[in-house]
Amino acid sequence: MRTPTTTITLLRIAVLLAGSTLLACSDDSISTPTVPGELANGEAREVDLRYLRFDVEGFSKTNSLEVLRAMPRRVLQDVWLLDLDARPLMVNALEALRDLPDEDVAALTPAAQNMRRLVLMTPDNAELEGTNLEELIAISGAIGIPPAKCLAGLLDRGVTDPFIPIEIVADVMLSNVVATHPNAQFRRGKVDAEHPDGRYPVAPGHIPLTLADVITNFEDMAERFGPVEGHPGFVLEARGVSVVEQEFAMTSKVNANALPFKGIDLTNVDGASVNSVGGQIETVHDFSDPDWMQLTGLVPEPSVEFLSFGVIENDAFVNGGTSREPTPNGNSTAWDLPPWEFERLLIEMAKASVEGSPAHCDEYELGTGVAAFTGCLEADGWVTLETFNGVGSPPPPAYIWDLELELAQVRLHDGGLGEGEADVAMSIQNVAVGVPPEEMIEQVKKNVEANPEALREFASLLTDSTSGNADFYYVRGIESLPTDEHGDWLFFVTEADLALDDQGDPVRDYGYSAPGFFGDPELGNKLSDTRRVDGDEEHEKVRIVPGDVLYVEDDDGKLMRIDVLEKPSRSHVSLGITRMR
Amino acid sequence: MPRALPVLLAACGTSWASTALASGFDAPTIGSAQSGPVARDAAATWWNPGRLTALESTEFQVGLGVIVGAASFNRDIRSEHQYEDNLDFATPVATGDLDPNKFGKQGKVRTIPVGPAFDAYLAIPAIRDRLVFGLGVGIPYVAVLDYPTQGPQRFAGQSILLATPHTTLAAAVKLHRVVSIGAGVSYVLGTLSLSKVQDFGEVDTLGQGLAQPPIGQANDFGANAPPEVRELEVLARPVEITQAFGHGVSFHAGLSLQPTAKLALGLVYHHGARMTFRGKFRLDMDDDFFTQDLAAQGLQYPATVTGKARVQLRLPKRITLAAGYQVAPKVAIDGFASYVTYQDFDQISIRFSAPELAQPTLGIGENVDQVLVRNWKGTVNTEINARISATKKLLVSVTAGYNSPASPDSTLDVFSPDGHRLILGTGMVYRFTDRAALLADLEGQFLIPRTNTDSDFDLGNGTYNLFIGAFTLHGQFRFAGRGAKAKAKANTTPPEPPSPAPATDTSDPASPLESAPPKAATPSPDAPKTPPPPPAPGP
Repeated sequence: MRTPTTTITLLRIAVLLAGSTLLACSDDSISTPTVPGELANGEAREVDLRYLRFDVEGFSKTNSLEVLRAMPRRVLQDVWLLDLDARPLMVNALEALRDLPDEDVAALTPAAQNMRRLVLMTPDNAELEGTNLEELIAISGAIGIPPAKCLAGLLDRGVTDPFIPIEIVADVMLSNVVATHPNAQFRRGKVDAEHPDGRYPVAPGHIPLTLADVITNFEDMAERFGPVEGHPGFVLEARGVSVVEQEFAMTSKVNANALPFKGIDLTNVDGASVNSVGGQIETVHDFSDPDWMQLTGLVPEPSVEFLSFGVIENDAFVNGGTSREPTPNGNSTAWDLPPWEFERLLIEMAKASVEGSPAHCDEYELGTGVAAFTGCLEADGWVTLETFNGVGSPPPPAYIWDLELELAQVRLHDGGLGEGEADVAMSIQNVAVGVPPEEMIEQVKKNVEANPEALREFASLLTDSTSGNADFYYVRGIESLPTDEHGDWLFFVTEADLALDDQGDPVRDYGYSAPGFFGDPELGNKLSDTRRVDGDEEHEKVRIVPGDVLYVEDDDGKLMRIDVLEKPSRSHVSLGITRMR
Repeated sequence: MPRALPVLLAACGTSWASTALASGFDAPTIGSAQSGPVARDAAATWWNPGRLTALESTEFQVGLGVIVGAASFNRDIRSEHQYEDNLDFATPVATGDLDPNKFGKQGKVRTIPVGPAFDAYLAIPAIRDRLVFGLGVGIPYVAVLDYPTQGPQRFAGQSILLATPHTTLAAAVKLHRVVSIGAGVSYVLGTLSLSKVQDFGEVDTLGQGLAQPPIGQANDFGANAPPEVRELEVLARPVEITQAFGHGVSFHAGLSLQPTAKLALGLVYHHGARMTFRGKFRLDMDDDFFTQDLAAQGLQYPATVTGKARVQLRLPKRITLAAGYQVAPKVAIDGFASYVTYQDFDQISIRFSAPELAQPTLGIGENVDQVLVRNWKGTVNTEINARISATKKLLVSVTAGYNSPASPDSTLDVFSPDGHRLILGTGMVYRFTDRAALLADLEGQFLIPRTNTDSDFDLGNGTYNLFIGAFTLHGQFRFAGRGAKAKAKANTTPPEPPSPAPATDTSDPASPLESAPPKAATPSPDAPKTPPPPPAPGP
C-alpha cells in the first residue's frame, strides 16, 4: 500500500513529466556566459559594443579612513591637497622649546640646551665672556652702567627682549632649511607642457600635503623631510602626528556618467571596460555646491606628539666679518656656507633681526660729564663702538650680525663642546601644527577647484570600473554635443586608461607602437586624431559608419582589421574583427 | 464548465511587476460535456457533490483529451518610451532620447499551446439511496503558453506552464427524496514554470537601491514607473521559475433539489484555496551594469543568480446556481450561472531568495519581495446545454456559454488574454452496453477580440485574440454497486437500464425517449424516496 508521501511524489513526477513535455519546445531564455579564446591568425569574430550613460547628479561617494588606507599608496601620494604653511608649526615648536620646563631642559643634549639658550638670549642674560663683546663688560663697568643696557641700546630694544625674536628664527629656518629641502620645493603632478617633468613648485616655507599624508597622519614625515639629495633635512623624527581621527571620511559629489566605456581587448576580442570618470574630471564637480567636497573627522587642532628637528653646524669656528664690503652683508665666510648650516642661519637671523632698525648712536658719559663711550648702529647694520679718555678697548667696527655670530658660536659650545660637536637636535612634544582644519579644508577645496586634474586618478580609482585590457572603446557623440561631434566614435586607449593593480601601478605596459586607427594594413594612413569629442582631446579617435574598414595594432603587435557592420541600434555598434597577423 | 482561471497564470507571470495572466487557459473540461452541477455522473464529485446521490451504482469515468489553443497579441504602444539602449532613469526624459519608432503597432505575436486533458472520477454508493462517496482527480486549471522570447510581449511573459490537479474526496447524503447535500475536500498539488524578461525598471528594490546612498540618484523606477523609464535593454533580465510546486486545500459543498420529475436544481459553493508555489529561479544578470560597472558603489551580481522562488496566490471562490429541465421526452436543457470572486485575486506575492541577491551596500537583502497588484473583478460565467437522445444508444448535446472578463483594462496583458468569452461545444454519448459508454466532446472558447487602450504603464495595450479548442474522450463504466444490488433484489424490474434518467443521465443515452418513469412502475420499497430522474444536467 502506498503511503501518502509516495502518492504525492508520484503526482509530482506526473505533473513534472507533463510540464516537461509541454515546454519541451520552449527556447532556453537564459544563456550561459562564455569566455572567448585568443583570436587566431585569419580568424574573425563579430562583437557588439554599447554606449550607455548613467548620468548621475550629486553622485556622492564617501570614503572612510579604512577604505582610503586600502587604496594604492602611490595614487594617494599623487593626490595633492595643499601646501601646508610650516611657519605656525615652526613658531610653535620654537615657543615650545623656549617654554620647556626645567626638568625637560635637563634632558636635552648639551647642544640642544645651548641652542635653547640662544633662543632665549637677551641683552640682559647674554654672557659676553669669551666673545668679541667681552670688552663691553669692562667698559660698562667703567662708565657705571650695566652691559645689558649697552647691548640693548645698540640693538635698539629692551634689555629683556630676545636678541633674535622667535618669529625671525622661524622665518629664517623656513627660508633656509625648509624651503631648500628638495621635497619641500616641488611636488609631483601631471606631466604637461608647462611641467614636462611633472614637478610643480611649492610655495616657500610650505610643505606639500597629499591625501596619503593626511590619511596616514604623516607617517613618513621624517623620511620625506630628512636627509635628501645633499640636504641634511630638518625633521629627524616625528611621531604621533595627528591630523585625522579614526572617523575621518572624505566625501565628494560628482555629476558624471558613472559607467565605464565599453571596448575590446583585441587579443581575444573580449569585452573590456575603460573607466570614464577620469576623463570627465574637469567637469564632474559642481563647485557652486558648497558640499561638493567634504572632509570630516579632522582633529580640531592638528598636532605633533613628538617632533625632533635639527640643524647642523660647521665643523670650524666661523668668524664674523671685519669689513663693510661686500655690501650689504660684509665679508664673513658664514655667508658662503650652505643655507641650512647653523652659522649661516645665525648670521641671517641676526641680520634679519635688525633690519629696519633706525640708525642711532648712544653716548655714555662718565660721572664727570665727559663722554666715555659711544655705540652707533647705522642703517645698514654697521656697528661702531668708540671709547674716549682711555676707557677700555672696544671691538673693531663690524656688522651687528658679525658680532652676534661670534657670540652665538661661543655660547653654543659652552660646556666644553668642540667645533662640529654642536649639531642641534631639538625635540619637542605636543606641538600644534598651527593650521586649523577648517582652513586646511578650504585650502584643499580651493586647490582642487583650481586643479581638478589632481583628483583624476583618484576619482577613477573610486569608481574602479576599468576591467580587462581594452585596446579601444566606443563613444557615441550624443545629441547635446556640437553637431560635428555626433555619431559613433572609436577611441584608442591612452596610458591613463590602463587598469591599476593594488599598488596603483598599471597592470600592463603601454606597449603600442602605433596607437590609433589606420586606413591601411601597413599602418601608414592614420585616420584617427585627437580632435575634441565630448570634452576629450587626449585620445586618438575616429568616427565610424557602417562599411568602414580600419586597421589597428594591439600592444602585442598583432594587426587587426575592423569592419564596421550594420548598426544594431542607436547606442550600439557592431564590429567584425579579423586578425591579419 | 469552469470559467477560465487567469489568476494562476497571473500569479506566475506577474512575477514582478508586469502582468502575466492566462485567462482562458484553465482546462475547458472537467469531466465530460455531459457533466455539470445538475448532471448525474461521477464527475459530480467535483461539480456538485450533492448530486452524487442521483447515482445508484458505482460509476467510474476516465477521460483523456487534448487542448489546443491559439492566442495572439498585437501590441499597440501608446506612450512615449526612450530608446531601449538608453538609461535615463527619471522623467522627463530628454526629447532626443525618446524613440520615435517605439510607438504604435508592434506586430502580432502568436502561440499555439497544446496540452493534455485528463480526469478520472469514481462514485460509490455506500448506503442505498442515502450515502454516496466520490473520489476523483481533475485538472481544473491548466495553462500553457509559449510566446517568442524576443517578442514585444516578453516583459509580460515568454512561456508558462501551470497545472493544478485537484484530488477530491466527496460525500453526498440524500436527506429527502427531493433534497440531497454533499461536500468535498480537494487536495491541490500545483506546478508552475515560467519564463519572462523581467524589467528591473519596475522593481521597487532596484529603484530604492539606486535612490539611497551611495548611489543616491532619485529615479522613477519601481512598481509605478512611467513608461518612459521602462523596457530598457540594460534592465531587461531574463528570469525563469522552474519546478515550483504548490500545495493547497479547498472544499466545496453542493445542494441538489429534485422538486419534480422534470426539474433539477443545484446550488454549489466552491471555496478558494491559498496556493504557495515553491520552486527554483534563475535570473540572468549577465550585463556589465549589474556585474561590474557599479561594483564600487555596491551593485554587483553574479552573471546568473539562482535560488528559491515562492509564489503565493489565492484561487477564487465561486457559487453556482444550476437548473435542468426535461422539455420533451427526448430533449432536455440545463444550464448554470456562476459568480466567481476573482476580486480575491487582488495581488500576487512573490519572493525570490538567494544569498547572491543581497546587495548590502544598497540595502538589498537576499530576499526580494514583490507585491503585484491585479485588481481583478468578480465574473459571471454562464452556460446552457441542450441534450437530445438521438437513438436509444446515442445522445448528443450542444453547449453555449459566456464568461465575463475578470481582468480590467489596467492589468490586462499577454498572459491573461481575458475578455468576453463565448463558448460553443458539442458532445455525444454512445452507450455500448448498460455498463459501458463512450463520451466524445468538442468545445471551443472564443474571446471576442479585445482591444485595450487603458493598460497601466502601457504594458498591455493592444489587441488580444484567443481560441481554445478541446477534444476529449471519456469512458464511463458502471458497476453493480451495493445500492444497485440491493435495489435489484428489491425490485422485480431488471437492473438495466437502471435509471429512467432524462437526457443528461449519460448512463442511458436513450432515456430522453423513455423519460417517463414506467420502469419504476413497480417501485421498490424505497421508490417513494427516489426522485424521478433529473432533467438535463450538464456541464
